[in-house]
Amino acid sequence: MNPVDPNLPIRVEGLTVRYGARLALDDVSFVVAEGAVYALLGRNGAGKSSLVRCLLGEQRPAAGRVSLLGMDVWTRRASILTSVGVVPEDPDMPPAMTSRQIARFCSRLYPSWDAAGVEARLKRFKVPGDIPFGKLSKGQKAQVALALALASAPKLLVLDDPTLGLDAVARKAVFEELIGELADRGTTVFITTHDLAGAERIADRVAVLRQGKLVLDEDMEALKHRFRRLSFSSGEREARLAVLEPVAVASHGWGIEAVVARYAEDFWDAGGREGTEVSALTLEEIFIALTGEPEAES
Amino acid sequence: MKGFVAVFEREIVERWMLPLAALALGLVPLAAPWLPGMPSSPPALVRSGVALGLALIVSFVLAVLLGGSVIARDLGERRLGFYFARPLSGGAIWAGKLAAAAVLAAGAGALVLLPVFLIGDVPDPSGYWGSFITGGALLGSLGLAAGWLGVILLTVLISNTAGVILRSRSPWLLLDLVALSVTVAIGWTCLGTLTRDGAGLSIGFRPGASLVFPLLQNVEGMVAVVTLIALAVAGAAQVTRGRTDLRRGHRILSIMLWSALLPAALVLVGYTRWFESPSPEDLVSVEGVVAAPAGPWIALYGQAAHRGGYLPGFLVDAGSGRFVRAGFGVGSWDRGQPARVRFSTDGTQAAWLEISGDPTHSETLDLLTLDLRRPDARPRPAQISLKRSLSSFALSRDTRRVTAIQDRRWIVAEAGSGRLLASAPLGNDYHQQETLVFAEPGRVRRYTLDASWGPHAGRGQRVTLSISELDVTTGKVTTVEEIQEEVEGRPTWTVGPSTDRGLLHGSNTLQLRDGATGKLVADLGGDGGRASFLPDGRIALLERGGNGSDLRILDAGAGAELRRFRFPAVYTVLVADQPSPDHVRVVTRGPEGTSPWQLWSLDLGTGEAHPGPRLTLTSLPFRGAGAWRGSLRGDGFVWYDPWNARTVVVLRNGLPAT
Repeated sequence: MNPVDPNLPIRVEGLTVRYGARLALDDVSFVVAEGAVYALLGRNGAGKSSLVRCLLGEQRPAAGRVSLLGMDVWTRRASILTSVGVVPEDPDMPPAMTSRQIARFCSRLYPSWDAAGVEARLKRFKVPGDIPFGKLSKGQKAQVALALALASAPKLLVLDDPTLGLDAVARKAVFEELIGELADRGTTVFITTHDLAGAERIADRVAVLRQGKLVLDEDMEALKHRFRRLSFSSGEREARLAVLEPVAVASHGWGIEAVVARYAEDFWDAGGREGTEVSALTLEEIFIALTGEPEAES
Repeated sequence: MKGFVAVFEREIVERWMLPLAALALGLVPLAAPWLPGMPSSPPALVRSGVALGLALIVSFVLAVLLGGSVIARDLGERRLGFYFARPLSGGAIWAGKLAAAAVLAAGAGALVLLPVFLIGDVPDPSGYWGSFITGGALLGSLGLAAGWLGVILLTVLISNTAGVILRSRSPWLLLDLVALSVTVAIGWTCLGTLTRDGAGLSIGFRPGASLVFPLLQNVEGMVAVVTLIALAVAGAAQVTRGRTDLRRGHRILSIMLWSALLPAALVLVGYTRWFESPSPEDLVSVEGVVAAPAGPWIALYGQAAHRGGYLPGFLVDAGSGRFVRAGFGVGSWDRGQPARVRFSTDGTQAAWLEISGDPTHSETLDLLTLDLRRPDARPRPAQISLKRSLSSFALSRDTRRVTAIQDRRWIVAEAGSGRLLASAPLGNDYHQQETLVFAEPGRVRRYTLDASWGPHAGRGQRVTLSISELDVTTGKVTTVEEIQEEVEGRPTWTVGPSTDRGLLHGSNTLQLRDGATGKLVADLGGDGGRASFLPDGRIALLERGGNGSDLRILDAGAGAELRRFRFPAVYTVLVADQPSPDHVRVVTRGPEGTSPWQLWSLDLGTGEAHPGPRLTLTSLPFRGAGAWRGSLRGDGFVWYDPWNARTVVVLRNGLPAT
């Protein structure tokens, strides 16, 4: 956590959310630096949606505090959101309104609004602007939501699983738009997603929620550097594997295959790297290694 | 404000079909005169009536539907996050949505009315609604429209609250049901009581209250305003604090709503209790007083301070100040009635009529009795009900029988059992003065007195005194006599305690007549003297001269003078009572009218007048005339009785009797 910068785009401190006796978020703290793309991962029910609701000031936590752009989000929500673009998990626009009507409504609420940009994005996404929102496909709804979120030139984008339920083409379109936006403006992005491959393309920091607790919060590069898959023949190295904090080890006829969380090059010093194989892991593999099971896509 | 306008406009635009549908519906009344089953009134009246009815229905139904869904459905279907993900305050979201619902509901009603307005069939608010509005057609229409908007707003808020509560399906629903039951029960009971008593007419907490917004002047309006404010505040808190969390919003709404309404209900209970417990000292105007024939009791009713149209009644002991509340004044809205109270001849029993239930609708009167000798006695309902339309009633000396004229019938019944003893039809006529008395056993007598400026040569009015009797055994009515006299001033007919004599009074007339036949017994003079019967049947006649007053005691048989008492330089002499057959008490006052009252005991045996102590008498502000001293702790009461055209005095116990 950065204790000296009060204007961090996101600062979450000791966030706790309860639903009756059930603890949905347990003392979660993290910060998101300016210009960062922060991906929050977690299985269904891990507490991501509760966290996003607290992040947007829609839900009051049982304990803890959330600041966006240096202001308390519960008390200053409306003014903060002039600088925040939001793409909800399930696009919740009024179903009877067309995309253009929704854009017109939103344009009155923000200090700056790029109406031409919205039109251009809708055109690019091939979303008809005069069809009621309720009649659009799921992918088109997400694209409309993204177009609206970007139209106010936000300092911060909050995307709550924007690709949930989308096909591969729609997912690709969303992420490409995001990448373009990031390249253009360097907007800070907070994204929760089940699309780990997509997140891997854009995120520079990753966090993982498991059963309401934040179990990982790390730069993508460092994470991918320390998580490795090793294959080597059995022997003296197997005994020393513990120093690399293996999270998964499998014995085969030809030797050992292990996924480690603390990979270090000096592990090989004693015997050299002959007869060994070291490979990088995808974000999905790291996620599975951390949470135990493959992430099910909705 | 920008956010409110945006949300408001969005809600309206989304429902753009509603105004069109309302406009289309507004065409239906144009064809109403030709629809089957319509009344055969003028077509314009039918069109405007149907349009008004449709408009009210459309507005109300839309208020319920939109109010119940505009926020609750978005919450239930998780679509309110759309607004909360924008730079919109919770207040703007709440106000924009509900204001749009109210405007749509009211606007749709107005659009239903538009076609008939355009062809000139404007509903006339001074017609059917005339009794509720003042200030002419325009102000009346505006007032009705404002009232209707208030109803729409209240309906929208209630529907919104109900929608949120029902959709959240949280355990707080149980609390809501309990709190709602308690609040409604309290409100229903208290408002029912207050309305019955006439609080709805005006509270008038302070001078100039009539200038305040009319809603604040009556208790139903205040309850509506408080409810509206509580619903609005709780609904706003539900959105601003609960935001997209439906259950949390419900919890906040319930806490806010009931923590406002339950204390308000308790305040209403307290107000009702206070309202219902005035004392005679709270009276600012006395509307009617009846004195017991003997003893210190009087019955009076009138307007109490800060209680609007409530006319509480009291039986008051002039001596001790003890009083019993009674409802014989409630519902006497025309204020032109004497108190419907009768006392037994010895002054120990009181009986009175109260409207049974809600005076707005009830047509029945209950007879209640009270034993005045017992301090712990409570009013006891007799087993008889009379019609509110009765024009006259009387009790027998022993208060066991009651006679009344109601619905053009003359009835006699047992007060205790309610058993009808006789019932005879009467003509459909109205009389200026009507008196019933129980005469000899088995016969009830009726006196009617009417005066008219007929085509005669004299200066006075033509007065007709009619005497008829009902035979309780046969149920037959016999007209005994009909006498005509020319009388100046207001004529009155007073029957003596034994009913065999009566006094016909006018400003130039004072006649002693036979109570049974009406025949003239004695002409007691026409010089402005005032006479009254003493409890033993003798007559006290007061004559004023240039040097003072003479009080003459006359024999009731032939009107012969028995005694004469002179009061030099005194012009106000009032007969108070007759403590014993040989003693009469009077009070006098000097010519200035400001000097203290003086008690006198007149010995009828010796003809001597013994001065007693100076007295402090409380003057009752009869129908607002005069100022109420606000004290029951005097030596008695004095008031002017307009129905019998005389000043009455009642003294407390304990004053010298001889």
